[in-house]
Amino acid sequence: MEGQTTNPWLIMAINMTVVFAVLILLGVLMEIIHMIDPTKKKKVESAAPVAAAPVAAAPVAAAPTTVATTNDEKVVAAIVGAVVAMGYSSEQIASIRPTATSAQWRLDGRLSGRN
Amino acid sequence: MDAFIVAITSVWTDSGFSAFQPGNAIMILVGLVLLYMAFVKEFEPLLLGPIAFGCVLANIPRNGFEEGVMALISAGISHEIFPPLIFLGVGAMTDFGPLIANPKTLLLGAAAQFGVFIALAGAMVIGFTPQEAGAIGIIGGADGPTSIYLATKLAPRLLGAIAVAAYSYMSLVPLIQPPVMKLFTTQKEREIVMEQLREVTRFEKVVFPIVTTIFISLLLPSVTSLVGMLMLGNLFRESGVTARLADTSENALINTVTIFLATGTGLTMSAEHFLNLDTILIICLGLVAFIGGTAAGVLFGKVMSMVDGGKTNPLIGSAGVSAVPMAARVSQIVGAKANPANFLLMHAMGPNVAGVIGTAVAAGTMLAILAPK
Repeated sequence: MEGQTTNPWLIMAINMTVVFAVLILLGVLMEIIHMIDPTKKKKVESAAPVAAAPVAAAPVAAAPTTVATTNDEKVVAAIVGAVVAMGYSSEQIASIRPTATSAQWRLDGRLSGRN
Repeated sequence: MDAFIVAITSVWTDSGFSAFQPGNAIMILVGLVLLYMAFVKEFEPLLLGPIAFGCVLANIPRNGFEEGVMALISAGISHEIFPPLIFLGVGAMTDFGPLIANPKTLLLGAAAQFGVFIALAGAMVIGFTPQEAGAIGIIGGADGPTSIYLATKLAPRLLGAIAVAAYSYMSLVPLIQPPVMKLFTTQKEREIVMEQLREVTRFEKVVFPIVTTIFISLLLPSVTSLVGMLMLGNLFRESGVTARLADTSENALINTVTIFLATGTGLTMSAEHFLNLDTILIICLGLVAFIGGTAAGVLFGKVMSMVDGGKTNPLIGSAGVSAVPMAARVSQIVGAKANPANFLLMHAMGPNVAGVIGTAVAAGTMLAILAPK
């Protein structure tokens, strides 16, 4: 206990400094991970057409590009229509996917995203 | 006849009624109010419900909770078993993608910890010991498991009040945060539409939890169990090959542990431990911490917005107070009210998960500085 500070402002300053320093270093580590990512280039190439889809096409037409193989297009169109009706623009709908799904569906989505 | 009277007298003297105190009545009433808020008003019913019922149970005199399952549940809290298990489930449910895509939002998570330290300083000024002040301050992180974890290590006698304050304010996020957010932002700032986040690769999502665990655990070993379990859960989710473990962590396990943790928290609310001035002070300091954290996050968001030429909507700063994902949802709701075309949820998830890490770091720092050596 010797040497332990009881000055609240000093404790506050030390703690805030440590929290900021740790999170900034974590940010640096994240940038390093991004830089050394061996899958990055491949991902950017495959992501480009997907990112362009919502801007280039109408939402109802764009959405099925990622899910048409596994979902009913009418269901997708209905969901997109409902989201647009809530006040969100078509540019904001990039894709539709179920939130609670089987692991198989998730794995399938990840694999199709990688290709 | 004598035997009958002796038997009746014995039943009476063994009953809870004969030992029932006014304090028990007050706390049972508190429990009933919390039950009303949980099940009728639907304020965090999954947490507040078991806490409230635990409170009622704890105030039944002669309940025999010194042994049996209730003793085990209490031990799960006092031996710091439940908070790391909750973090395992939280990790499995959390997508760190928005944070990885926009690492500068880590600063918002750090800024929102300011509330923690405002409450810490305030608690020390009004007479709590540095250890107690540290445990009280962490309420501002809006992170129930971390609050309980720190309280058991620094101020076990205040555990009930701290846990209740932390979970109560977490459930009141949609009521407390919006006025503070609006107070510190202009209509124009709230209308800012943020750019879409970049794609995050699977490599980044898998490496991030591993690197973070090693880095933070080496720096602050006292929170290794919290950070480690959070990141292990996330690794289950992101690895793509442990779907069954991720599913168990984010559903069955976290639900089971939530029942135990919340009920156990309620069990700490016995009248003799809860009905005192300290509890009222803790509740007040917790509110100060929460408002302070929200304000600091929003103000830092404003600074960030000024620096990057108006690309950041300051409303996402308030999500830095943890409370995943409710704080992010509040940012989304307030942003959408200002501009219906605004979609801040994914952007707010960055500071939100940064807040979880930030609160764990703040807890580790306080343990390093304040824990009795």
